[in-house]
Amino acid sequence: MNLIAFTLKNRKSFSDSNSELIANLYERLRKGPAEEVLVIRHDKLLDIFAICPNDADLEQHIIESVREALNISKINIEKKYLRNEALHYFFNLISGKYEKLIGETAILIKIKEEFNLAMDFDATGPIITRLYRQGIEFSQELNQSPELKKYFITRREAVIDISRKISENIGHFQVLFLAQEKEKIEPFIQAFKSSSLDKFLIFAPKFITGYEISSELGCTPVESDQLQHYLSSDTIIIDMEKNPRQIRRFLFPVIKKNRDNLYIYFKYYVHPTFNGDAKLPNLFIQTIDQIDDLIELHVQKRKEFFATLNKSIDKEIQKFYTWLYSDDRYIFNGIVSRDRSMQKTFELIRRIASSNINVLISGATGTGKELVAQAIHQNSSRNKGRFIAVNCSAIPETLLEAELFGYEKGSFTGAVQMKKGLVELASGGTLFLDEIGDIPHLIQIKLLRVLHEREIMRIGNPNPIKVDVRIIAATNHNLENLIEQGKFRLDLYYRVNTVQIHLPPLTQRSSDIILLTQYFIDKFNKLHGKTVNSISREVKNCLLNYSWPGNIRELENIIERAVAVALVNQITLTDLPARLQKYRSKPATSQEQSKTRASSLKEKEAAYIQELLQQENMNYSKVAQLLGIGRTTLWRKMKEYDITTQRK
Amino acid sequence: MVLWLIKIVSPLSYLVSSYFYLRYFINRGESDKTWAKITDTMAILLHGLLLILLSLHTGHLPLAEPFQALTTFMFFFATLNKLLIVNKKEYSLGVFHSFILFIFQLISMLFIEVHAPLPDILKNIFFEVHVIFNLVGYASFSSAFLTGIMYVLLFHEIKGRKLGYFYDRLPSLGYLEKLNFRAILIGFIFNTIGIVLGACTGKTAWGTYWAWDPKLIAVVIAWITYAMAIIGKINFHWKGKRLAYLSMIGFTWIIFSMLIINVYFSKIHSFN
Repeated sequence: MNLIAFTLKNRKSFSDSNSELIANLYERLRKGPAEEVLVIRHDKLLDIFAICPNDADLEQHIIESVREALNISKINIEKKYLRNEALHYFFNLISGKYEKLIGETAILIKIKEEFNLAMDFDATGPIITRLYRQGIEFSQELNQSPELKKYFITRREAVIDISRKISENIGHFQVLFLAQEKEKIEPFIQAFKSSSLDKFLIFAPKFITGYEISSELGCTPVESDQLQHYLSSDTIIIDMEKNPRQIRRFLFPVIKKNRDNLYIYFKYYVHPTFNGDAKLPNLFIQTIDQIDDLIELHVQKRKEFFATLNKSIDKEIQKFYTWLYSDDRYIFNGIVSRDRSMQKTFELIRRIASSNINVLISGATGTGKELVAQAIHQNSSRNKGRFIAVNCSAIPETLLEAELFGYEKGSFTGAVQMKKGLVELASGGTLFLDEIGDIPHLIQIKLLRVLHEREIMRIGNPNPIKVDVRIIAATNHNLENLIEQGKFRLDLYYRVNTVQIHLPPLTQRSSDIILLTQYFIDKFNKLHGKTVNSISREVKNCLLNYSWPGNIRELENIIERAVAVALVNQITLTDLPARLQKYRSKPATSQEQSKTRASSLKEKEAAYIQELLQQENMNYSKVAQLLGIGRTTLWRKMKEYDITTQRK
Repeated sequence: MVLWLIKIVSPLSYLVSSYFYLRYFINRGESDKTWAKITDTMAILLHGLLLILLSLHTGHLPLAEPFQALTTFMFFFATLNKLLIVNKKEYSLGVFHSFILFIFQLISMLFIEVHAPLPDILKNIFFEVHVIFNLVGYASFSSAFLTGIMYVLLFHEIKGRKLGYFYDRLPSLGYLEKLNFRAILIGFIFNTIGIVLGACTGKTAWGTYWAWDPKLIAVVIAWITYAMAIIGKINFHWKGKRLAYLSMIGFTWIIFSMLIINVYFSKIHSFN
């Protein structure tokens, strides 16, 4: 599996190509040999990262796709990076090395957006996702490093730094803006506020505009005759006026008069004859050129710093490869899948985990709802707290309330001592309510109270107790149907269903069946001290053709049994339960029959392609010619049939 | 033997600490900072040990001849800088004072006469205290001189709108001003006490509080300069630049006048 990166160049800007064109592009790219693709649009460059088993025809395909999808006739590949180079390129890109202001975080936001887009079009997979995750983490860590913090590259940071170089403490300073554009003032106010300055003035010659902006920004508007009054303390002046003569006529006499106060004056527009007012010892004037020079200096420093980054990038790449070649490549917190929809789910879990949002997990029995809940818990900041799973249908209705909320000593017969409820025990952690559709109406109301007020009442105790618990609910019913039948409260449904994660049944994740089988074989080998290492072709067919009503749990049980009873190192047909054995070639129902027949035709096609490929020593063009199909079609078929592509 | 060893090691220890301070000044590396801190402390402790050993060896404070006085002076200078500047987590200035320390400690160790006879007048306890107070005062003035130079360098870089080398390395103007004024104030207090004690000893030695001696006049002129700086700052809110210039002028005056007077005049206020 290789990562290949292409940089394409065009005279027109790529950034403004709309999402329809991009959708088109992704659709075309997905038909090609690449398994996973990520497109990052820059101004006149286009980066395409592709995960591809073999890069023979990728280049041609990518050029064609871009040309057709984006309607660009003249496009050429500027650079091509293979494997390590591509990884280097990716990490450098995401850390902002190629930005005009080196290390700027805008690129991070852009890559996040582009990745989301790629995910929406189903172009990403586990490898790209992992790479993206690692890149984001790397970049964020980098941004926290003291080197980058020391060498700031924005004007507002420069203004604050210069002010700090003049006066040790700037917390008591007020800021006077000579400007009328809200957009320009706002970032400065943000930056000053984070440096604990809180008094802002706006001086605008057109009083009305100044007044409007100031109320929006929380500044005090100042007129020329009020300057004397307002400027009687230390002030940072930020002057963005193009023609400031009028202001200076008012300002400088005031500064001259208040000799005890410091004035730090930043000018955006400088007349060529401007020579500052060097005579005033309490006035420090800096022009935008000085600020930009300082930034330029820092950009240089940052360049030097980025040049030393190769080592840490190598480390990241090493980490990436370790993951890539390890078994847990398709494992996310115990959930095994290479299925694209599941990969999206993993990404969703990562994103929602950190917030306290309530999650509803829906899916048929045995699809791993509890595993997902655990994954959310593990990825959240609550992972040091407890994870308590309650199967609501397993506890009798009468006991459920006592179990969930606890009771005081003597509150009913048999309550010989106080008992804390599960909700209270899960405080600081996560409470997983399985089969939430089976909760009786009365307890639904109490649960709503927990979700709403974050407090519970033990039975026999009227005082509410505060709990800090995240609730994840799961159901295999259609809750909307239950609501229609009046068995489930609508308000509770809305509370619980803030985010819904749907887990597809195993038959819809057929690409995962063999992966899961292997995972379970390894697991049970360890458990039962066996050395099973493969499954026979017949078994594989059985597993793929079976309808899996019990989903992954059923698969797990079947594999456990098979591993336990296997006589040799291979699982053979006789190791499977009788109900599966009949799926060896002929499925029971007519619906599945046609499916199998179709697949057998496909199998023939696959075998034929494989044979031809071996015969022609992997010369795709020739094979395609022999088959009378296009090379792209051949690629698609090879991908569909999972034909391995190693050269002899 | 131990004394002889320390005489060699002491200047070298300042060289080592100035090396690390210099590296920190140029590269701003954290490890250099830590090393500078450690070596600087070691050097001062060693210097203190040297003074104690000298005192024990000779039976009196090491003030008997100019180079003994110089090394005592340098010890006060080092300690004051350590207390006033470095302990406030400001390490950029260390390179300047540690290098000066290296030079003067080297000179005094090369020319020091351990067994110089103690002049009779020095046997007076008043006189000894007078000398020590003045040494502390002048050490503080020299610290003010250094921070004054830093202030002027940075001030001109910022005022001249060319933010560059010193901008990246020196602390803020406000902080330098604070350091500068603090050093002036401490120096002034010690110097005042030293002068008063000097007058008292003068009374017992020569029977008069005041003599029209060039050295005494020079000292009083320096004292007036610093007094002006303090009054200007407190009463007239003088800004850092003026204080910086005054501290520079005052200290330069002290050095030059002493050199000239020692070479061309030899009056009652000398003990050789």
